[in-house]
Amino acid sequence: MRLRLLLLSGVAVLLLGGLWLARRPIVAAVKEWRAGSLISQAEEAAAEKLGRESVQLATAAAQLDPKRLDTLRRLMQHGRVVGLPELPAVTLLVFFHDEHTLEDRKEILRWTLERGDVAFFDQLYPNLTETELPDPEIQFLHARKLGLQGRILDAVEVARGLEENEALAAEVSLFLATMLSRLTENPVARGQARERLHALLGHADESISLRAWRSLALLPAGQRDPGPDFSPQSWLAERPSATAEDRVMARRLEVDRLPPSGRIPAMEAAARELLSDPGAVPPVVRWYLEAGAGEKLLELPEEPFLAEVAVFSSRLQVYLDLGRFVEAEAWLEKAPEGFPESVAGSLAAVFARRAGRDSEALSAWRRVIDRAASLQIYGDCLSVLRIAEKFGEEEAAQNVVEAIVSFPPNRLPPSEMLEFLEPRFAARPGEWLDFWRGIARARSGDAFALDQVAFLELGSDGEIDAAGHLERTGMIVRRFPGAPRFRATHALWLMRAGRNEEALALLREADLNWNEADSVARGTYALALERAGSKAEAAALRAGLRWTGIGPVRRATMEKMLGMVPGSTHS
Amino acid sequence: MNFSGLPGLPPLGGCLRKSFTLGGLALFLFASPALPAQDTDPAALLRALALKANDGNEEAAKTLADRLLAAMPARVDPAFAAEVEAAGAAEAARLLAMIILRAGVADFQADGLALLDKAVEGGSVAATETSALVLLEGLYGRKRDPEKAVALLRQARQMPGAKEAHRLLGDLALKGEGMPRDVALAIEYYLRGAEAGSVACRVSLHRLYRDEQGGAHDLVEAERQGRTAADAGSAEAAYEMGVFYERYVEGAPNWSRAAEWLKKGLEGGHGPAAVRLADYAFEGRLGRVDATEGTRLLREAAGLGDGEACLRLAALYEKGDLLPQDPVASTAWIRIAAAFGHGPAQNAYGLRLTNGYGVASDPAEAATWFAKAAQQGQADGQVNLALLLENGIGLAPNPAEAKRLFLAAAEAGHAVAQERLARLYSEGDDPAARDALEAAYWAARAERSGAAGGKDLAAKLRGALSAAQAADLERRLQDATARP
Repeated sequence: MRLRLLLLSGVAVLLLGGLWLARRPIVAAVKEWRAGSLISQAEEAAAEKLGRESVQLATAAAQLDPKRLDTLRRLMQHGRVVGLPELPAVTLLVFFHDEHTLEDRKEILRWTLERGDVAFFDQLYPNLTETELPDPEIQFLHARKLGLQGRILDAVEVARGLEENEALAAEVSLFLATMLSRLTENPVARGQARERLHALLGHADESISLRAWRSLALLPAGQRDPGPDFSPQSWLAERPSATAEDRVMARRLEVDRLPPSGRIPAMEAAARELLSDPGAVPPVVRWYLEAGAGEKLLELPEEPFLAEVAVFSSRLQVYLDLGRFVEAEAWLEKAPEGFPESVAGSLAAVFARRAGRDSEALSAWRRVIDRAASLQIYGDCLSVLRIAEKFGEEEAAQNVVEAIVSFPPNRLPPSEMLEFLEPRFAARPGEWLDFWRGIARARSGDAFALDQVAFLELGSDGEIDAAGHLERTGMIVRRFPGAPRFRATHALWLMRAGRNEEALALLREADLNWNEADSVARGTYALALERAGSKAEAAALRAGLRWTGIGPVRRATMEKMLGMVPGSTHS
Repeated sequence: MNFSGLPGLPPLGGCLRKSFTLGGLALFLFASPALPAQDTDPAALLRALALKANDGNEEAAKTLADRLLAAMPARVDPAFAAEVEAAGAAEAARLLAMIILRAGVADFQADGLALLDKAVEGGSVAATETSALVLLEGLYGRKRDPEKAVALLRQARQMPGAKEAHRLLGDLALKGEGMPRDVALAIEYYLRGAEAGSVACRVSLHRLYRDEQGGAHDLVEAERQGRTAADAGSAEAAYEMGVFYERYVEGAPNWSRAAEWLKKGLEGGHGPAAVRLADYAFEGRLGRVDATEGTRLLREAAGLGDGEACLRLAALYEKGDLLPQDPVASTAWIRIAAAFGHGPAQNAYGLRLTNGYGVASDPAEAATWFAKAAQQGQADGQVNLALLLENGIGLAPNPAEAKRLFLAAAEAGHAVAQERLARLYSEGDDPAARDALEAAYWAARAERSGAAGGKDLAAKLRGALSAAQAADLERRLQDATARP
């Protein structure tokens, strides 16, 4: 009995010891299984349109730190559907997973481009291996990224090298056509774009041929038509996924074939037919405006324009552009449900002013601004500001700006969208800096706001956290390696710390076209070159500084650092 | 390879370009007595440059500077001293690289190329452009590599201060070298170069816009670009505007307007403008024939270093109707054109030396001029040099080198070289080197190029081929036809 007990205890000890030793893999396997199960539940919840629950389940799965590539892939895919907050981190885990495939990386890069996240792409792309980089699809994604950044020539250079790849040929040609069409001063490029698009109209893949068809709109009106042998209606009839917009395009091509004198009547006749389809209203409006016949738009029946806010606004816009304020005021009274009160209120003020009812205008402005300010709705304030600026209501515009900058940061839009306010602070750089300090304090991860404060403090005389800026701007560059703006600010802080060589190296190692970067970035490069002793190169850069699109405070700060007389260079 | 307006390497800097026109081994010239002695001490300056280029490594700098000074006498241009003073590490490496490479001393070539690479790594725009040119031209022992050159130029064009990259890329896109031929891309490069201040890019745009064939035909834009470039002081642009009014506008040539522009070109020192004006004088385009004025203009162009003008003067002395017939004067002008680097003149002067016409016969000297022409890709020069080598005239016989030269000229479409190659492959002294298919191929090419005995030879050699060889021959001939 004792022996049996001893044996049993020995087995138990061995079992416990084994379990103790294997506890980590067991726990990991359990967590992995649990994460997988949570993802399945999250997917089911999403299928049942329980979005919030689905996000919660996926978040719980992410917090279990799953390690297996297939689990992470599922989490990433689901995270994209439901907008998982941990999605960037999960995506990085898949991208850098030891067992990742080239397909994983391509898929992730493609996704970054589809959502226009060039910064994330720039973070990932340099980490591709030497065997992955030459892959044609990867290179094509790189070309697309360059296109998104507006680096058209760079994009064309890369894409031209991919044309011989049979699998990509049609996509590359379509991409090249869209890029070439944007080289507006280059007649041969426009011609090539046209030829490519016309050739692709005959592509067997409907999605390609329809994308080519829609891209024809990128060409000048006279170059869109493939020729008299091409029948737009029959061509469209063979493509079941064609939309109302496609049908408007077809009619436009046909009308453009007529002699100039017959085009406007034909357009009007076509429009009356097309307007029965609500999807056709916006393209019809564009057609009228592009044909220079905005006024004729007002002769169309009102009914289709009352269906929704966007098309209602397009007609309102025509009244305003033509200065027909009385009719505009009458039209505004028919506004459909959902038409913004801020716009209606601002326009009421404008109409009162135009009619000479100044006191009514004043009170209307006050009412609309007070309402937008008290509700702290940025979008409303922006609408009021736009209307005030458009109609020269300077006092109202200034009042709206003061309201906006007094909002708590969580009521403001992404920082990038606020820089347009800078000209209103040209004479008050301190207040402008304080505004950004407030945003940066409230949004510790907002790279744009942190960069803005770091840059503006370079030009301020107060107490400055130099070490903090150096560290923060360095982190921002690591997160957004392809942004010249962030790289320039960090380089300026490096130079301020006397680390001139590092600053120059930082600027040089970027995969950027410095000739197309803004003047703050170019000016920073000039400073770095000067400090590294390359005065001749620096002089060439200084000579080409243009300040178009750069706000007055930012410009003055940079000019001060460059030792220039403020405003002495071109704008 | 020869790129318009850029024969060989770009200048180092204004003063260095002057320095190197005066001899291979002189480092710097034009010492200025006005400057303090220490500023113009070549040894100190070279050491300072080497020190910067070697990132402050005194030992490496001293070794390199001492080696250079031992091999090359040096004097200093004060402007160059200022340039060295302003140079950072990368720019110093480039300057030193260019000094070494331009001096042409073989022992230092590797040092020069290493310094050039270092300057490229250091981010020097000018070094990146120069490095691309070295690859485009296959200079200093570097293998010709247009693709790599294009990659470097694309890198350079993204860098601030790039001057030549856009124009070179435009030229290459037009030729389809190192990248697919693409006029749209060429225009885009030129447009961006023009935007960055490159007058040469504007001139290229002017030519493209006035051309009716390239797809960019736009006379208004051509005139705008040409005028802007000419207003910026480009003599070449003024010349092109002359051509513009002569050929491309107003339905018929506007000779007087063209002449106004050509005169502006001439005032700017552009030799071809003078040659064109000389033609107007000889042809009476401006009202009356004026041979005296034509000859004067040719002499003026020759004085500006225009090889074509020298050759035209040589032809006038040869013909003897406007100028007294004078073989010695004719040959002397050919000699001058050859010295200016004019390829056809180098070959022509070689022929005069071979035949002893207007100059004492000197086959050895002739061979050196044929070699210069051959180096410029002149097929005639290659064939003439090959003939001297094959027959051991003026230099030691070298059948292998002769064959290589015949091959180069034959590939370029030279009928004599093609026929000669056909004979070498069919009846050459070395039976092991005979090859019926090669012989038939070159005979067929010679026939197509119109060589005198090509047709019979081709028929004979083709008849000697097997069916499989005949099929192979047809395939190769089709490939040759398809090639540009």
